Amino acid sequence: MDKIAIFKMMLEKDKENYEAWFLLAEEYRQRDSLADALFAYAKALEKNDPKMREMVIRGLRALTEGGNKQETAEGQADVHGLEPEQAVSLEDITQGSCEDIGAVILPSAEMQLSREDEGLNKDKEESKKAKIRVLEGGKKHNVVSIGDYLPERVTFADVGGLHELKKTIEMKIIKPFQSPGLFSKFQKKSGGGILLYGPPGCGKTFIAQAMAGEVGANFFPVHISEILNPYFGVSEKNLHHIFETARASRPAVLFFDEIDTLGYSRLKSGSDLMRSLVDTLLTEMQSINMNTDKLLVIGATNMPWDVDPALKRPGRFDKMIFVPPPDKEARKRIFQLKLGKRPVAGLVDLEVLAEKTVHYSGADIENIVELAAERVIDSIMETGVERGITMADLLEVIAETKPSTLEWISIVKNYVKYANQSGLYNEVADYIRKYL
Amino acid sequence: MDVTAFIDRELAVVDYLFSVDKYEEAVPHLQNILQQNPVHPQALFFLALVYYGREQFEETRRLCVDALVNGFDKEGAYGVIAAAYEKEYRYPAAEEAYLQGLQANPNSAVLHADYARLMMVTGFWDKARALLNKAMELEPTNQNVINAMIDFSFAEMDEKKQREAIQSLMENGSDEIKKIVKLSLYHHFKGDYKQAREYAVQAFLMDPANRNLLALVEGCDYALHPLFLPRRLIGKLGGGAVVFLAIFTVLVLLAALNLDVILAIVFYSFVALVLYNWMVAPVLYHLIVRGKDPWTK
Ligand SMILES: Nc1ncnc2c1ncn2[C@@H]1O[C@H](COP(=O)(O)OP(=O)(O)OP(=O)(O)O)[C@@H](O)[C@H]1O
Ligand SMILES: [Mg+2]
Repeated sequence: MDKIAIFKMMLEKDKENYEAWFLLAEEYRQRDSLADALFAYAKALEKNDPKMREMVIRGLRALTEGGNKQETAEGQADVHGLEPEQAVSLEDITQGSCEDIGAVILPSAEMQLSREDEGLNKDKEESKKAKIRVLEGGKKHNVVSIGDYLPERVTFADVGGLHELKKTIEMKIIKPFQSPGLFSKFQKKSGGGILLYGPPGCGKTFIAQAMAGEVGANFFPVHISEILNPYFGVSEKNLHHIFETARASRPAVLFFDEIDTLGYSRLKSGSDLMRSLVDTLLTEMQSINMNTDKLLVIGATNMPWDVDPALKRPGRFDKMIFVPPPDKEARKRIFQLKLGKRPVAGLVDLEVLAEKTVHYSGADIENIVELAAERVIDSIMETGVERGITMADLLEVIAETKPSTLEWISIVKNYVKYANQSGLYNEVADYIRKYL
Repeated sequence: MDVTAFIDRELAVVDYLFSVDKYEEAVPHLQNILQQNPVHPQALFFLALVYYGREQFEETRRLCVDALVNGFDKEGAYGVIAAAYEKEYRYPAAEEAYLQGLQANPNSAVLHADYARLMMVTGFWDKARALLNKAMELEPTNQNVINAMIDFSFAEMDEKKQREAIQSLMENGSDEIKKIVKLSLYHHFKGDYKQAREYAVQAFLMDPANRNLLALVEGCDYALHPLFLPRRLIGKLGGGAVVFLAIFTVLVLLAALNLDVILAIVFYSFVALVLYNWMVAPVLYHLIVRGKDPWTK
């Protein structure tokens, strides 16, 4: 299992896990991924801890030495031409058979790539022979890689509460995905993507991961930094390639988090690149054949109204699923998850905590635990007496915080007030009627 | 890893995020660039725009100056510096920034248009008009120039100019929401609240998280509410001043004819109408609407 992926997972769970930042930096350093290592070291430094500082400085020192080494190696490559194992043909890249797709292509090579591509029809043989210089390492800022696999499977068992939502997903997505034959027999289309939407921090990303776990598919999170490229036409190609790669390792789930970024409404932006990326996405999604491709596309967004209307039409992200703020059971589970990793003192009544946090998001609860921990650390520093997080700490923090989901819900409420002819947000309207 | 390639790619990401209005999301990428090259002019300028969005204008200007010092385009940087001063009502400083920008770039339509707007806001109409004319001469289809034209036509309450400016926006503008908002304002101004509301709702649905658009819709709802029927009638009759003059004439006439009782009735009804329109109706409206919907707070 790729160590970097594991550290990234840890960091996704807790961005302030400075040890993980440090380990990530070390790993990047060993792979000569200078920029990434620097960034991770800087993050680790935010801990403000002398020991960590010392470790980071040591790491940085090693980094600069390593960096020099890399530079000379590069220089040599320039002088002596390419080592056979470092060179990959254009075909390898475009067909995705290049073993280390996480490799970094140098800009000169990349320009060459796009130029060669233009000349592809004119002189196919020539371009086939074109060699591209590839540097090892650098898992993130690459042209053709798509996200890392998850180290562990998350399944619905990990998602607390939300029974109705789980059932909907089971019926609408998982079953059709697992037995498409049944659907085709009845001439029922089982394709199309799913758009998870809802207030921020309520588990959209988490549930998408769990969905992939449920259907037993490879999970490919797609980040825009893996798609965007300064050279004309390359971004679209990257997007296409991501679909190809996912197809190649089917069954697969392609996950576009914050889809309002890649699929921003074309009414709202004049960007040509954005328009053509939305076009590419539309084409790719429509060309998915559910019966043979075993490829599921999931998008997630806090701002469904920002997603291009064309992306919400049949055959694209045509199943919109509202991920509501966690219900009581879910909140209990989240408290349990987040408190599980920290020392707790005395009896902590999850039932009471969940009752006192109506409308709180998963991220809000995470924040409560975080603030409670801070409180305890402060008190330990003051008194010198070591202790764990108590119920009283948690209740005090809850009293001082407010749920963050209400703002989002009020936006949708207004939306529904002025127009919901399409019934787009019926689920939210129901939720509002029921709980507010 | 090649630093230039890395920066180029991060810059492409930032560029994209800006084009889809995700300024905060661009920050980590800007930090990545500035970690590699702390004086990268383009990155500094982008970061300045982020701070502008956060309404931290001091920092905005500091970053613009940094960008300028490192060779960033003067038209853009001085324009943002000036805008940041304007946001803080520091008009002389804003003017100074426009002048510096224009000195470096005497044919900038954007700077002329924005400077014209500043002059309009501060009441220097002749200067404003001259600047706007120059901007129109330089680049009549530029977004900033058209916006200045529209604001001008509204401030001058000139319907013909408004129509022309809006027409130009429809033909040349790229931001659909902005177009619809201006259409709404145009009809609002004409007193056609129904049409204004339709456009306002359309704009709001495209960006429901935008409080200003919600306020625009609510403004139309307010004007259209049955409670304000008398007020709308007065508007139809030619506005408050006309009606006031008419009533005043009637009162004088009645006084001359010694019809004291009728005079008293007309006088008190008029006072009641005024009180109703401008005090009772608004209070009632707020009681009703707010009472019905605690969410519009
Ligand atoms: N039902 C749930 N069960 C267990 N954990 C949950 C649940 N809902 C949310 N969480 C926790 O809340 C955290 C935030 O969730 P997540 O990041 O998936 O939210 P999101 O909706 O994707 O937010 P954003 O809109 O900000 O991207 C996750 O780390 C997850 O552990
Ligand atoms: Mg998310």
